[in-house]
Amino acid sequence: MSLPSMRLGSGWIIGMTLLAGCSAEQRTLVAAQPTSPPTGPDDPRIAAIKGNFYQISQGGRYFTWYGCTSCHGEPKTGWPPRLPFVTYYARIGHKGYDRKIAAEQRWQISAYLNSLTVTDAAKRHRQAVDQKGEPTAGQWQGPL
Amino acid sequence: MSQRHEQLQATWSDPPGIWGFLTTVNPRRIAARYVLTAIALLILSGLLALDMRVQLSQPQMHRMTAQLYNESFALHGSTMLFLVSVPVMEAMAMWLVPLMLGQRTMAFPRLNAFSYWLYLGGVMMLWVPHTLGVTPDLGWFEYPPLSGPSYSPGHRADIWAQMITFTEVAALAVSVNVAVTILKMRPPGMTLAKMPAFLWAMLVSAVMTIIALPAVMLVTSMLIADRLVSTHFFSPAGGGDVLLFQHLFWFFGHPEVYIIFLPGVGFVSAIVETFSRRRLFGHVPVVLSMLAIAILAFGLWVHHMFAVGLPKVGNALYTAASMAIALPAGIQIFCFIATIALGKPSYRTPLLWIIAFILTFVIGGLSGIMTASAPLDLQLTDTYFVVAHLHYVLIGGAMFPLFGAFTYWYPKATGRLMSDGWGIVSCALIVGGFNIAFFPMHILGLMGMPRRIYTYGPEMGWGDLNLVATGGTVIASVGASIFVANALISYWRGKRSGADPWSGSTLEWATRSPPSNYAFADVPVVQSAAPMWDNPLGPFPVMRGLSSRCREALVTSLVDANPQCRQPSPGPSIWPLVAALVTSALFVGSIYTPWALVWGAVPLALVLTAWFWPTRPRRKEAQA
Ligand code: HEM
Ligand SMILES: [Cu+2]
Repeated sequence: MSLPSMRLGSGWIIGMTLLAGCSAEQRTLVAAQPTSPPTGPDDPRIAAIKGNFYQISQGGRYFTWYGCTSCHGEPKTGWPPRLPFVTYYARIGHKGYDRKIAAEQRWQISAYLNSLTVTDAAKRHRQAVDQKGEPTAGQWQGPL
Repeated sequence: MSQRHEQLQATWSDPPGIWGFLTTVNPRRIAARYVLTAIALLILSGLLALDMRVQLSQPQMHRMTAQLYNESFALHGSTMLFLVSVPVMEAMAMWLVPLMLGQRTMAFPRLNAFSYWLYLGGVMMLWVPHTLGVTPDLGWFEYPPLSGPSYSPGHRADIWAQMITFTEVAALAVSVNVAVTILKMRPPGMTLAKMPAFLWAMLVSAVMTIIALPAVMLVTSMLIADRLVSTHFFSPAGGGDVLLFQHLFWFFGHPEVYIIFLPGVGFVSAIVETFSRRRLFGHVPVVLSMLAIAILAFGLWVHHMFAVGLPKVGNALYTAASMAIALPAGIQIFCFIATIALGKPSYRTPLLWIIAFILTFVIGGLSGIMTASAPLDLQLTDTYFVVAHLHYVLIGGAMFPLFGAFTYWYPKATGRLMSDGWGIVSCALIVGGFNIAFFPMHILGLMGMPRRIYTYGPEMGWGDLNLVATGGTVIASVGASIFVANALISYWRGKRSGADPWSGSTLEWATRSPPSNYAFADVPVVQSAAPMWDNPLGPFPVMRGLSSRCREALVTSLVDANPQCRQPSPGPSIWPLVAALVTSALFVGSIYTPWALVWGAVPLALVLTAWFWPTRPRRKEAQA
């Protein structure tokens, strides 16, 4: 058969294997989330959380909710810089945020920041547009 | 005669072995596959339902997590509607329509094969990822923004959306085939006025499918586009509209319930007629009601959206339209009751299923009138009342007639009868269990129990009725197991049925059971809508002239069914399967990259060219 269909065929196989790595799709709603900071770069929770779509997208929502955009603006190419996960986690603690943001959510925001460095601009944009209705710290005018 | 039989049998046979399996274009072989796949999924998804009912049987159960429950009802609902109800009805049409027309095959035999393979692709699209732990979790209609790029990261929503594309292309293929076959391949004498109600039902639901399904394919494709290439159809901040999704979805979704229900009406008409030993009472009103339903069904979809805050005038209009559709449905029910009452009914298992249908569907219709009223619906929507209602109409209105049809035509398909005794037991258990399971849900709904919750607190006071509901489900499951066992055992042990065990009224009973490859050596000539009863003594009048050496079918005129030409009919071919594989690659690929549409189109074009490459000699050579 022709080349494109072979490419598609292999795409299908790759797709299915990606699906097989299904922990990326896992969605945990029970209280099995981290409650303490990462113990170091080798903490096994890091790989689990930063590879999970649900945790990343939750992190994206908190990023808006806590008003990170009011100083940093919308994420753009070059921001955030590519840093180790533990560094993201530590930096989110700045300006007293360590007292405002629960550990679980800091994990998720770190995972989100980490994902942004590999997310292309189009995807970042469409997720941002989709979330325009989310409350934003400082600018929220709806009911509290 | 027997030499002719040999010759016809050879002309219409498939190649032996696996190659024959892959290339067959015999509508009965393909339809049997369709039905069996759908029944397997009915069982799987029924087990999911049982699992959910166990979870809900008591307050504060934690054997299922919320996420698992979400996945379970999403998989259950999507499977039941997209992979079971619609396909199984179409498969029944594929099996029965050519036989009822006294034809050897359908208008586009290869299209049937293509349709089945794509349907199988849709089944795999949903269930293969499920076995890998990736299951859609947003219910059977996945509204944005919940299913949009931001709130449904990963591929769960894409899998759901693309499963729909698969099954809807498959459904469109069968529907076109059924509609053309009924319109252009009726036997001489079967004018539109003398067409059995069953064929009308299949025709109307095929046409409805052709009109309704593009809407859902469009809307799921738009969703995928939103998720993949940032089209913002459904994101308000990008200039889109979330309600657009609901409008397009329900423009399909409401007609869909009638696409499932009308074939049920077709089964009921056939079974009621045969077992009441009397022509269908009110043939004309029944057919006109089908047409009325088909038209009204496209003007009701907003009753699924009463709670989203549309203008009051709109809500009132759609309330009125929804009530109006109760009239034609009611007329049909009255005609069925009148047929039984005026005939000499023999209460064999198929007729019992029909009586179960009438009782259950009326309850579902009544709760439908309640949810159709906008003010009441504000209270009822998203509660268990809706769960009760939808199961009363889907199970009562479509599954019971289907089970009746299964028992009724089982001897035609296998040459053996299912046991009547066990048939009655399974019917009683399923119908009884069903009512015990679902009637309490009306009350639970009125008490405020929301649908799609994985557990509830003991203080809500919902525990007892939920336990009853689960008990009913268990009873129904026992009945279902007996039904399946009865079907399996009768396949080998059942009493031999002969061609016409029930003295049926329509043409499928004129040929042997199971039908030979070619089904009919000559096309019967009919005089009424119950042709088998026209001249009970004499042999059937037939029209001769179709070749037995090459595949040929008779084409007749649209209204009067006057013979027009002999149409060559294509033989077995591998191309439908190849085309389905290439289409599947395109569909699956387009979850990951929009370029799959472009690059996938190239091999698809090549395969379709090969498929349609002319193989017959040109006319002049053929005549020489
Ligand atoms: C005895 C058999 C069945 C049982 C016990 C059953 C039970 C259930 C349960 C427990 C739910 C979830 C309700 C909720 O949490 O909101 C459900 C949902 C549903 N069922 Fe069934 N079911 C059965 C058969 C069927 C059949 C035959 C069909 C269709 C032909 C069907 C169609 C649906 C649909 C469309 C939903 C809604 C899913 C959603 O919320 O998105 N069910 N059923
Ligand atoms: Cu509706």
